[in-house]
Amino acid sequence: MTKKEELFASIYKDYRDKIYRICYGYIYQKDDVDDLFQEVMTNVWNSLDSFRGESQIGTWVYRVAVNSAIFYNRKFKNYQSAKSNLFKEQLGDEPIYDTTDPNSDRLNSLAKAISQLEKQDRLIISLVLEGLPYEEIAEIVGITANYVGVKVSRIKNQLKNLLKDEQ
Amino acid sequence: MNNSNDFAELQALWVSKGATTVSTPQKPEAMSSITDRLRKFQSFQDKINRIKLIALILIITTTMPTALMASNTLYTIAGLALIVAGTAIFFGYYLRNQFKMSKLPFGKPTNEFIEAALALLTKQNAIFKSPFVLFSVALGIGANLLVWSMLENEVMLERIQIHLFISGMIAASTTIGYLIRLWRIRNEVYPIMDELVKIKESL
Repeated sequence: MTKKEELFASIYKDYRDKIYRICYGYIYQKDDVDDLFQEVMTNVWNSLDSFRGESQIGTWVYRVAVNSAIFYNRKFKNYQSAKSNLFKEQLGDEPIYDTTDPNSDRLNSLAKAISQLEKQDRLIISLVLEGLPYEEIAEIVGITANYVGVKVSRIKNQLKNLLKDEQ
Repeated sequence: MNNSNDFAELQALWVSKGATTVSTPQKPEAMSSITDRLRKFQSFQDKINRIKLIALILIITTTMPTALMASNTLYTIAGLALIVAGTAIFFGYYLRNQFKMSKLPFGKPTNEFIEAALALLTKQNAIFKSPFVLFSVALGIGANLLVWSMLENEVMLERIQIHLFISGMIAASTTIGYLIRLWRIRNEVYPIMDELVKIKESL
């Protein structure tokens, strides 16, 4: 394996689930989530050469995920058919959240509520749910940590209302 | 979600669920198959770009000697030079933008990424402003100069008819090309740009 392949393999191993959850929070539809996940991983691979270690690898990976989600548009892609099977074997067709699990209803309500937020808010709350500190979110998005705090508090309120409506 | 404990609970649920239901590939060969496919996909993209460039060079290098063999008057040379220059400028601009688009800075902070993406998309759309007008005009004048030199011995009325026909064909094909591209830009690029502007304003 080359250095690039080794780095990609370790990113894939460590961040696959995290990225997948961010995609899920952003889109909430299985087919599109898979598609966006592939887009993110392809962008990680293509951008690896430009990674100079100026930020933590995790911050960099989240940036690629967030920016790919923002730029994601099915119609816009030129190589959709060629790209569609890159990760298919690894993803499979099973539902993301097990419906037999007693918590799955709650989790699906949460994902559905997130999907009703503004696009940029979906990404920010997904990063918060991943447990990232405001400082790191600020580094990913490019705004101040204080402003992240203000935004998160507003998003949490919105989420609370959406979850209340769900019940 | 009444308090921060509720949010912490949702957070724990969110993180644990994804980790248990989405399994990472255990076998090393699964990982190498992914990197294999990524490498192949990247080389597929590179190949497509190379094929475009080679096709352009081939068209130019085969058309020029053929036309020069048919007639090598000053009009032919001027006509060919205009067509080649117009085509090279237009497709050079197009390929350069395509290349830059494939190198979007996804690893930059979102606000910087949005700025870069908007600038590139705007530049990409601008190809159908002056570069396309220049290309169409160069093609029109160049083709008419070629026809002029080839029909030197024909009757004036016939020459005028052929010039009108050639000009009409070029005008029609460039207009159709322009309209198709405009339709694609409106349907595919503008929605992304609107979305990016909206996100940029909200950050």
